Amino acid sequence: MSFLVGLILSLLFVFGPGPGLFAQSSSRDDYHHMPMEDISPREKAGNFGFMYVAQWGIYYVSQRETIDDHGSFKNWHENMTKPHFDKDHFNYNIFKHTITGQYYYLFYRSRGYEQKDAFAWAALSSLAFEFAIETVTERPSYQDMYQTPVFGSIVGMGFERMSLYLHSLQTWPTTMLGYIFNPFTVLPMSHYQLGFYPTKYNDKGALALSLEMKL
Amino acid sequence: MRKPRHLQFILSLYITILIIGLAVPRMALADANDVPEATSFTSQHWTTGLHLMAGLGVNTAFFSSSFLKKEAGIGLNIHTSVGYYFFNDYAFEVSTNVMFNRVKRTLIWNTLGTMGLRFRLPTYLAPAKAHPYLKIAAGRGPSVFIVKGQKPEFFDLGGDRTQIEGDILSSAYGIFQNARDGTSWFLELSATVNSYRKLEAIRDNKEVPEVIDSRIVTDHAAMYAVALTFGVVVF
Repeated sequence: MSFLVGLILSLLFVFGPGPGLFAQSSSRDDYHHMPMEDISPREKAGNFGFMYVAQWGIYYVSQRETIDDHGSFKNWHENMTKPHFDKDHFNYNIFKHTITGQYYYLFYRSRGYEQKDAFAWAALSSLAFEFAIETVTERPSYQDMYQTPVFGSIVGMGFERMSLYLHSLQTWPTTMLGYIFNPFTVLPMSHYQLGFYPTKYNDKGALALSLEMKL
Repeated sequence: MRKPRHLQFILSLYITILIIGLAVPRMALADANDVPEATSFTSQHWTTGLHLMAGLGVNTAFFSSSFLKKEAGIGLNIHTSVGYYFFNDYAFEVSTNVMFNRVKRTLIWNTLGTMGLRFRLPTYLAPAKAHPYLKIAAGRGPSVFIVKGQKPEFFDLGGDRTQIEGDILSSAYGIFQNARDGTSWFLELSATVNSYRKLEAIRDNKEVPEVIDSRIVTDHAAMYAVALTFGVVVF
């Protein structure tokens, strides 16, 4: 049910006829995603590699007990060629995999990818996880290969817009929520243009380090 | 195993519709083809490349086998499709329609994964301003039966849930229309048959699903479903 609510909310935020909340307006208070014109093959490989290493780390930490009980190197290479329809509960197949896919999508968006490219790379990362990580404990799953990037990207698009809108309100509670909906906006190098800037307060005779999001 | 006669008929019908579908768009859509190359997807101009559609809808299903016929009532469905569109008339698609139905204490969770072809129909087969299409697809997917509490008598299997995998044939009629804000939406009516082949009883062992019983389906069991979906072109 929580997945359905999430999906409906995302669709509303992505396509809802609201009062231009997420439109690319010229208002200086709106925050936008700023795609890169050209991402070099080296950067693409680096981003994919970073995600692959992160996937291994999160998989190991979150599935340690399962890996100890059922995992092996033999599984890892033998399972690669045996995809099947998995037997997982829908809590895993729909809810958890969608959340994971959403982070894949938002990561690539934070690296400056256009929507379609972020979706495509999220799909590749999902395939990498299914065929070259999770095979330690189980066979690749057809449902996960499709649903992780597709459902994840759709929910990710909604959360991204919601996060940018919340950041645009420029109050600390909404900014915190903006980080929760899209944690990648907190990264200094992200293409949501968040950065640390030295600020001089002439009226107070002080120098400070400000955390800002550029338009 | 010999296929039931009604399935052979449906298969033949699909192949016939597919052949007609390959011919119809070129004959009927000169107006759509006259649209200059656009940069974004619209109902009359399907831009070449990758597109993602997503929608929500309602469905009704009917389970039929040699010894049991049961309506699965009305449920929700989540439809998504990823397609490569080309020639402004066609698309190769991979899609899933995830359906949820409830019969008393049994939740039926269908994942209908298919690959197929989408093609345009003549515009007179749709309301004004809408652009109709037809989809023919085939695939494979599981139906999962999750019973809350004590299982009904005809469930002679153990485990936490029962998963039945089958071959899927699906067809859909739909329309695309443009919204005022530049997005395109669709309304689609689909009919699907999932002919069951393999049944497995699943038990969760520390969150790892284990198959505790497996059987080949020999009683011509199938799930027939009709779904009405409203959705949008995501990109």
